[in-house]
Amino acid sequence: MTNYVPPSQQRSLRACMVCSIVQLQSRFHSLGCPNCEEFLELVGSQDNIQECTSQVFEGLITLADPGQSWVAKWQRLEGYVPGVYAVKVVGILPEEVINAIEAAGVKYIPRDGSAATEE
Amino acid sequence: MSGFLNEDFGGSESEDDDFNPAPAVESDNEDAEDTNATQRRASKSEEPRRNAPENDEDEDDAKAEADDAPVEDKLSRRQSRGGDEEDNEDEAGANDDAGADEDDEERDEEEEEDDEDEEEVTGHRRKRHKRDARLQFIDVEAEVDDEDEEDAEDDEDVPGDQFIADTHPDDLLDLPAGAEKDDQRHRELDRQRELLASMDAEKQAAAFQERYGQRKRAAAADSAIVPQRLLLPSVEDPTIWGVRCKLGKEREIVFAIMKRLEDRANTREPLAISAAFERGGSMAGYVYVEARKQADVMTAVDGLQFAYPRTNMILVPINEMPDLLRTKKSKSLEPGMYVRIKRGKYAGDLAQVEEVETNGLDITVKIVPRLDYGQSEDANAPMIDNGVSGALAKRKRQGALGSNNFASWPPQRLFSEIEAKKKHSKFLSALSSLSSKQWTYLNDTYIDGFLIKDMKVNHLQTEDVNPTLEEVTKFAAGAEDGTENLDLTALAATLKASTAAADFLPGDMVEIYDGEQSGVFGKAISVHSDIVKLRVTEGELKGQTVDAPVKGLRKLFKEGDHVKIIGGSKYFDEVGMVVKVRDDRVTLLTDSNQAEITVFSKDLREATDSGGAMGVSKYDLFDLVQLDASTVACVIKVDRESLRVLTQDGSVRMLLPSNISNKLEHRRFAVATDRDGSEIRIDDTIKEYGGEQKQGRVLHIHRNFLFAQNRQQTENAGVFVVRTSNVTTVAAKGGTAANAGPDLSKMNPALQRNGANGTAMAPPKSFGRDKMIGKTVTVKKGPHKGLLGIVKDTTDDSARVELHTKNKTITVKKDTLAIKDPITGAPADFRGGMGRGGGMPGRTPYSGQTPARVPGWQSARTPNPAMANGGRTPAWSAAAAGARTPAWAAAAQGARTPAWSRQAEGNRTAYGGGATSYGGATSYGGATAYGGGQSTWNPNARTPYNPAAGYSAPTDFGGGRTPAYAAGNRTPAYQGNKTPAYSGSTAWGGGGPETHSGYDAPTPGFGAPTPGDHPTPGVGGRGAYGVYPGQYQTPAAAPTPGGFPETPAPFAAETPAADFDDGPSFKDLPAVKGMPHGCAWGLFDADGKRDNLGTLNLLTPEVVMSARKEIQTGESVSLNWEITKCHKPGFQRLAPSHEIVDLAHLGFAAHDDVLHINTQSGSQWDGYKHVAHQETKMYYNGLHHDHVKNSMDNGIHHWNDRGGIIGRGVLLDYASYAEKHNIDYSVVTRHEIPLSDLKKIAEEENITFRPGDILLVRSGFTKWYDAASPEDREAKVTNDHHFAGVQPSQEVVEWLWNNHFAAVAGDAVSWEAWPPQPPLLIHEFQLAFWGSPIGEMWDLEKLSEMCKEKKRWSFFLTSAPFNTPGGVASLANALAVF
Repeated sequence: MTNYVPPSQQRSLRACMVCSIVQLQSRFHSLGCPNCEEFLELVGSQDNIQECTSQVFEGLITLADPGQSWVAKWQRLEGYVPGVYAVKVVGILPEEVINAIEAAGVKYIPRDGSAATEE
Repeated sequence: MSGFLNEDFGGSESEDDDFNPAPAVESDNEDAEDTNATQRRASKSEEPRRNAPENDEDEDDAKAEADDAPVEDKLSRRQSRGGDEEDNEDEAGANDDAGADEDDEERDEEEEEDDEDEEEVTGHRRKRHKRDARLQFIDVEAEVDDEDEEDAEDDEDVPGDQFIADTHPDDLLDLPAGAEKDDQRHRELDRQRELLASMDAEKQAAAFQERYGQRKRAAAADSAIVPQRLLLPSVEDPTIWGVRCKLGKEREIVFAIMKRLEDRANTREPLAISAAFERGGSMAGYVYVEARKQADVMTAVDGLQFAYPRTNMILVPINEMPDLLRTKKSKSLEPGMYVRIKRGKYAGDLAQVEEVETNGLDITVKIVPRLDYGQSEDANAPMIDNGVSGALAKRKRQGALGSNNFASWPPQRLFSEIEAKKKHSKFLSALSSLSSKQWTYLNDTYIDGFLIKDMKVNHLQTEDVNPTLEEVTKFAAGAEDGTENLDLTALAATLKASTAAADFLPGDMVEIYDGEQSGVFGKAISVHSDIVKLRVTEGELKGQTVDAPVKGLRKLFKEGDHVKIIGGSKYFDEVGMVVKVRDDRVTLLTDSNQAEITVFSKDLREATDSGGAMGVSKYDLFDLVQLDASTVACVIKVDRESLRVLTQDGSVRMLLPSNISNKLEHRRFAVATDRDGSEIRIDDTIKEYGGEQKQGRVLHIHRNFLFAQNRQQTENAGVFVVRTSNVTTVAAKGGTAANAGPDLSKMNPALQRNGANGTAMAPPKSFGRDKMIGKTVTVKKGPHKGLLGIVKDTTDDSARVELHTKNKTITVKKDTLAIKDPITGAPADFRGGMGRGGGMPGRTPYSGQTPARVPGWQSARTPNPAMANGGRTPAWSAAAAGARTPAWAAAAQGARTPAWSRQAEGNRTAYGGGATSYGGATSYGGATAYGGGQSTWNPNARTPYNPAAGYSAPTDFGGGRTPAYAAGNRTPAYQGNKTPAYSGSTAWGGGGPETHSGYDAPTPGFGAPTPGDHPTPGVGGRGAYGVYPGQYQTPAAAPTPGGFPETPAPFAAETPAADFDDGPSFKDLPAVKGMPHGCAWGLFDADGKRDNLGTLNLLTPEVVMSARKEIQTGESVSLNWEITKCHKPGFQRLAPSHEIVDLAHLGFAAHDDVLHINTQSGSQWDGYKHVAHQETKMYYNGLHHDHVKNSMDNGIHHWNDRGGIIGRGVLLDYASYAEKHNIDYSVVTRHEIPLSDLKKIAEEENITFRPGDILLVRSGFTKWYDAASPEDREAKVTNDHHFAGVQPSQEVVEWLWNNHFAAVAGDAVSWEAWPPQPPLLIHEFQLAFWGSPIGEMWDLEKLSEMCKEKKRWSFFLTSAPFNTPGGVASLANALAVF
């Protein structure tokens, strides 16, 4: 199973609004989000995919070694699986999803740039 | 890899160099660094775990190692671990061997147990409980935690009240002010405690884990809680390199890297990068790769399509790394706001947000449609019916025109169902709606005439929308009843944020109205992004420069100021006088109609022009102007500042004159054909066929558009635009060609296009200035035949020639001209160029030989070309002889240069006089004689650089009489000296026995070098004359002529060099300002020119001629290691790569090969740009580090230009010596080769050094490397950098200098023992102070064999460095010849 997406399919990529991983919509559909599946429950649910992932994202990161990488640390991707992530994911998670995330013990960090601490 | 390593000095490759502690970024907290460090340590300790989330054993081991992580980090990590392990069934078993350091947690465990159920409920609560539990054990730590978490939460915008409420009151007391500091100490304390407690922590942790393993995975875990500023990169983090790539292909490359990563993941060579990313937008064109080593980046990216890692990889400075990942929140959209469409038919159009989906991604917008209702489907269809309203008709026509012009879309107009029904009724359907008219047309929905469309937010431009009033009113006028429902609040919302910095310009008077500095005002100096730098003009801060954000600024105007409205208002471009200022609203009285208007100050600028009289516009009514490459327009209204134009596609635009690229000349004779094929000329009356059948007089013909004017119409000043194929000629001007029938020759549109005058193809243009202009020519034919003149101007086939004789200018055909040499009058070969004048623009053959040269060749006025003439011009004859320095060439080759001829006859003159002065001047005594003038002896007089008289002296004499010397003689002192030694000696062979005057006869230099003559034995005769200026002036001290006879003897001995030497000794090196002693800058400068060669100047022709004697058997040995030998170079250098390219794809059976090397990764020379004097960052001869990259100074090409490196090589075979004397050492340790041994080796090898020798020292490195296993190689060379080499010591340095080696080289990685032990570094002396090449990693094995076999350790050595302009280093390409 590869994280590689050929250019022809790159139009149907979506990014998880929680962990910012970028995958094909079909992959979200069949396998869910490798980091957030527990609480997002994307597998098989087109609705959840629409709600919790976004087609609008900027900046791609290939993360090879989440433990070593400063990029991962900075982007708060430590502990996630290697793969392709986005730097910024635009979109707003529904309130109840955020609640579900928090309930799962995960600190939700908005990926849309609003969490930027330095201004 | 050899050579110098950036590791310890300022270079650019290694991350250490760029050490830039994180606190540099963080200004508010002096302890930040420590905090960071703690953080780093913490996260580091986690790495192993994260790497192996599925392997419990590994994980636990790793945990055990992570013994210095603060407890609280562990705890918070625990949360995430719980998640990690959830899916892991056999985790419990693995916990048994859990180690020691987590028993704090064990203690917590019991308390937590109680809370466990609740914890499942919410994250917040769980956290709180957890902390409470810990509080009971570690009081201090609890405070730390509070602090920590609150920080985090503040940063994360999570309400923190709850926590504060929970905090013990005592804790609260501790919190404020120096909180960070406390935190730091607490962490220290924690660590200590933890160490103590670490005995069985792991075991406890395991149990803890088991208990909480059920918990949901904690996604971003602890790092999410840590404020981002604590995550700033440190030197321990991997480095980020920017790799160029093709624009727009960034994403593909990121995915391609992913693919490569996966492909190699389980192979023996996995990619060693940790991440790669792209940012598009402003950072487009680069992909950033994070890795520890640059070489890893190369392996990851090299060969990927569209990525160009071989061009200039950029190392991202550590403090800029966060900027690469900076994100800015996109503006959140709300209904009513204005946006612009990014692409498609409506690109650039304003749209109003109707509705925003909750996910913030799908936006419904309202757009003014651009429809042509099917007109474009059939451009040949009859244009229009007469019955439709005028406005509609016009639009239709425009639509048709537009559709013919691929660049333009139909104009914006509200949807009209009437229109749609005409051709497209089948696509139209009405939707019932109570309140408004809704239509569906071509699958789009139209409500109230607007197009309602769902779009993705990424297709909308939300920032800097800047809607103009004109655009906004289109939406406002939407209501059916005509009432304006302009939503001002929405407009304000859009406009407010758009206070672009562009509103402020340097020179504006501005006032800060917000923030601490409010009330300060001054003049804007510069505007950068949204920060304005202003110089305060009044008040306390007067004269200071202040930075202020744009949002807190407004422009300041005073009553009476004359201002102009620059934007954002319907009064655009009005000019007036300020009569009242209130806050940011300014009331002004306009110049034009004396009306009072109020505008925002941001829309004003001080007017530079007086608003009174109307400025004369460059453009007149009805002018045809070019807007861009494909658009022309006719001016239909001229305002004071703006123009209204009608473009060829029928739209009307308002423009500033500056928007117009140029005015098209009125082409009186332009011709077009109408629908019937009749000619249309300017001023003809034409009538539209179909459509409105507008009639008008043709103003302009542009391609197939006509701009015509109908005086009866008021719209657009009566101007309209039609296509030529859509009109008929009603009346031709003068009533001529009315019905002349089609002119077939004019019907071919291809002909039409090429010039309105109907000529066939214009001759191809030659580009640029005609080379003929300015040439001297004679006329070959016609009435002016034979006359000489200068070409003043040319056209394609004729030229205007100003005649010399008649003082008049004539126009003649170019081919009747012959170009002459302006001076000699001889025909010059410009034929080729001439012949091509009209025809072939390409290359002009005579560009190669500019006339400037021609005279040179013949007149021989300049010395240079005189080469051909031989002995006339000294400098060149020298060159002809293959030497650079005429004096010596002379010495070697006899009477070719004037010097010689003069000498031949001139013994009497020059030398005769020189006899006494001879002694006085030593070698330069000769020079004196030479110059013939005693004045030259004023030692320092003319050479600015050299305090040492020895050096300046030669220059002087060079400058004295024969300019040739000045030109040619670059290396005064050394050459002076050498001559005697070598070529001198040969010459002496014959001349020696002669009388005194005989001595004088050879070169003046001759006299000079004799060390024996030197009266100052204290100096060992060495460099005496060169060094002590005093001697020059005191002939008495200098050797008497009587001394001369002695000289020959040592010369004859053939080894005189060892005893004497020409340059200053080390201790006598002149002081160089700002540099330590031992710096030889300026020493080799000659003729006021900066020297780039350093000690290579010692390789004079004489030295080479003398070295020639080393060639006895004609056998040669290469000193070059295999180019790809060092396949894993140290010091993070790029590994050499070699690729053979099959040219089969070009249809050849052939191959190329491509080499990619770092010049430091094999047998190589370090050039003078390689290593600076570390303290001052200065390179040889005063080149500063900052200029190295872009300067040609010190470039390796200078070595090439001087003719490479040739001379006598001497090998000190330390490796063999050590073997023989049982010195046990390893070449991959820091073994120092002491000077004493070097001297002994020289003795054993029976070598006497001469100035200009090239010293080679063999340490045995390449021998070791060749024999070592790949593992050893990697361990010792790639990673560990300890190498044997010459001892870096003061005595070695002095010895190197005093022996005047031209260059040194060795098989060692860094020549001197490595790593360096400051303060002394031989590299600094050789490269930066003296300009003396250092060769490294030469393969001396075969040479060593050969030397042993031949029993001699000196040989002829050649090296051809790369001709890399401005290069730093070069492969050695060295050969030894026996």
